[in-house]
Amino acid sequence: MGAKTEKAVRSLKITQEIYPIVKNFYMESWEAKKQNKLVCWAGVGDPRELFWAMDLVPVYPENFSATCGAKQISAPACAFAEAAGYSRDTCSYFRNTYGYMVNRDNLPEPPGGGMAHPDLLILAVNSCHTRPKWWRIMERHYNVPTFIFEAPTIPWDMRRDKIDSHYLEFVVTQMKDMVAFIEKHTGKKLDIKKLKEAVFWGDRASALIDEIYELRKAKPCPLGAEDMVTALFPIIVLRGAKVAADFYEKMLLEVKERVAKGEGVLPNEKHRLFIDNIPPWYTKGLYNYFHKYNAISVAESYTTNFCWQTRMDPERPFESLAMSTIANWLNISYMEKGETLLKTARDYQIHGAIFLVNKSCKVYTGSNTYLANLLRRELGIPTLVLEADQTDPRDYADAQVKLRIDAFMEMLA
Amino acid sequence: MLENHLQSYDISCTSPSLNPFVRKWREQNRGVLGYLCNVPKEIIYAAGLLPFRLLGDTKPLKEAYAHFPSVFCHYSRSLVDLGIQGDFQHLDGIISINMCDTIVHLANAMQTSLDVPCFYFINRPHDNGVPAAHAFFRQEINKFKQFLETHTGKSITDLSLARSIRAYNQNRSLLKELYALRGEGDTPLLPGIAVNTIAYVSQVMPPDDNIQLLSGIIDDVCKQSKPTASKRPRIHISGSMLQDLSLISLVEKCGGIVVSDDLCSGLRLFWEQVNENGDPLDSLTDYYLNKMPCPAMHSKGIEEQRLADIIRLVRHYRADGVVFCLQKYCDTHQFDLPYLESCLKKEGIPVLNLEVDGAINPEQLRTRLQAFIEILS
Repeated sequence: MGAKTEKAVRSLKITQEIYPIVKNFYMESWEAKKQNKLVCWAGVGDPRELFWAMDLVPVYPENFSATCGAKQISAPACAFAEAAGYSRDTCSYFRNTYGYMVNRDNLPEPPGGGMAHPDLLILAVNSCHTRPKWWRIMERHYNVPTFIFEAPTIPWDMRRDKIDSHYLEFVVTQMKDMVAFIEKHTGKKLDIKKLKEAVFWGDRASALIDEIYELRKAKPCPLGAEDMVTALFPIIVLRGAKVAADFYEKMLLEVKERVAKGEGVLPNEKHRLFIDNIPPWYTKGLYNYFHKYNAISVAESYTTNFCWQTRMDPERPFESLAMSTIANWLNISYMEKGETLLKTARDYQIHGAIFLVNKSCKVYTGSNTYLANLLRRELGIPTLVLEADQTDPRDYADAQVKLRIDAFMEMLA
Repeated sequence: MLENHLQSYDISCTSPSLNPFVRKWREQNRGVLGYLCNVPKEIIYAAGLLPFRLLGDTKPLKEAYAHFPSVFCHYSRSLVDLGIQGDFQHLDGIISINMCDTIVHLANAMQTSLDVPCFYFINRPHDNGVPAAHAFFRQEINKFKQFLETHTGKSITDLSLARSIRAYNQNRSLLKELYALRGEGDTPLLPGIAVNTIAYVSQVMPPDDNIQLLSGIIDDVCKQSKPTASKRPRIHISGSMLQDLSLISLVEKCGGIVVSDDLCSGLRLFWEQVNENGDPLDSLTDYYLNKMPCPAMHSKGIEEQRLADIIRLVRHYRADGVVFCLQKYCDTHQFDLPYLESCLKKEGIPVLNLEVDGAINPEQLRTRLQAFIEILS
């Protein structure tokens, strides 16, 4: 890797526990495979409660690539995909997974041994059309049963909590088709009690993380992006399992304690920032760099606004999961993103906002200019746009990025 | 005569503020709606409005940077740019549809940054193999029809829908005939650039006027004396939106002849017909879900189907090689490329891959095209 990158320095105790959880998660999938359980490669944002309830062992290629990014080993895998003909402008999550799918033996050892081979491929398309292309490529490579379903995009005349009934019906119907698909391959019927239980735990984890986000409104802020984005792993990957709720229970306690003591990440917190886009996983230390200016990220669209968490009703599991599939940050209109961001900026008392140009995720980057213009126009909040891909470190120019941050922070001061 | 007819397809017509039909319709107090991609334009025309496909242009961008990030293709950014510069002032609204991510984001960027009276978004499913997709899309199409009825204050009858479908079907057959005159014989009866320009500009013409013009051209071509047989290598062009048609001329200047394409601004516009019997909204639902797919679709076997479509066209028009002209940042096409390229080569079909980003750079492309065409000779 040519580019200079830095790992995050985290301030909470609980987030030190994440990496062992991640490693264990991948190791367990290999173990489950040995016990003849079905390993399913799925999309983040899928209705994962259904996977737990149906005894599948889900692993998530996107999360795998983010993990490789965070371990700073993604560059050679991305380069391999390019050598196979895939444009460098395509998603680096895809390129990293493709590299490991085709050329694993010649690449650095991934955490926990990486993803066990899939028996099934499942994907809910709920914003990005890169992923179904990617899943079809994996389908061709592994030749395993594949189920892809889609949620409509929410246009500007609807809102996350106010969508046409046929949108919801369309998703619920396809989700039930997915259940039939899984039943066919596991040979076991869905146990609705188990599903309700998973939805209960998913809702519990969601409620807890919501509470943690709320506590970040405190001054000084008890935890910054460097801890928060790391702590997303359980809600993204383990939502619906009790272990995720247990994690956030502990995390909430630690954060509450900090707030009660008036303890922040920074002893002299001066600037409160909002950061957009998927974290540049290979250099999460960038979040710490703001600390030099007594500045901290108190809210991020990838955490606070994304809706990895969703309040769900265990008595209406399908509708709840359908809503959770539809309502993510990347599937809503610019208008709704704008309204949400203005509220976040007010609620969290934000002084500056950072946007990333992330070529891998065009669906994240697309709203950059609209949102930045809106924050400046409506609230007079200064904004900065930086270039950083989510997992491919090769085009990341650390010195340039930091120079721009320096200039921005001096302007804020 | 032919020359006169061809003049009607001037590329400047793709700007709504320069298009003579837009001017005429507005003078008659009839509305004009801009649209993107696979919006069922038949319903717009049936509502008494002129559907005008937004095609953008190839000029360097002036103001789009401040409103739409440069991670999207030039086509989409040029539309934001033109919109900001006031090129859409004669449009009564813009209709978008869920196709690729870029189109969804373009729709949002236009809705938030352009001064156009109304915007509408249709959700189209991307997998026609999903049983619920048809019913969902039928509801979306019906909702769009109701939106247009509210917009105009007039109901859209089945008869007006049937007429509109018929007019567009005639456009489709005439364009297919024109492609046949160019590519089915040993020698093209029309230059490649003329045919692609006609197909391109047809998207911003009222279909009834276009029927007259296309019929006139076909008559003229059939009357003219047959040119002598050509042995020049025959080229199939593959891609999405090819805005800079001078690429076709460049291929021909470099010694090849363009005989077919599977562009979304070319053959994919007209290859199939909308069913004229049965419920018109059902027919439109079927057509727009099942027509020759672009890679934004993700139905099972879609890449295999696209490969089969290209091979079928290469055989039908007896092309010697395929030139991919993919827009920079067009991820969906880029994802299919390695598969298509390797399979076509296995089939013995030579492939050249060009990336386009707005206006083409003829100096840069000439050497590559010449070398490719030489191999085919």
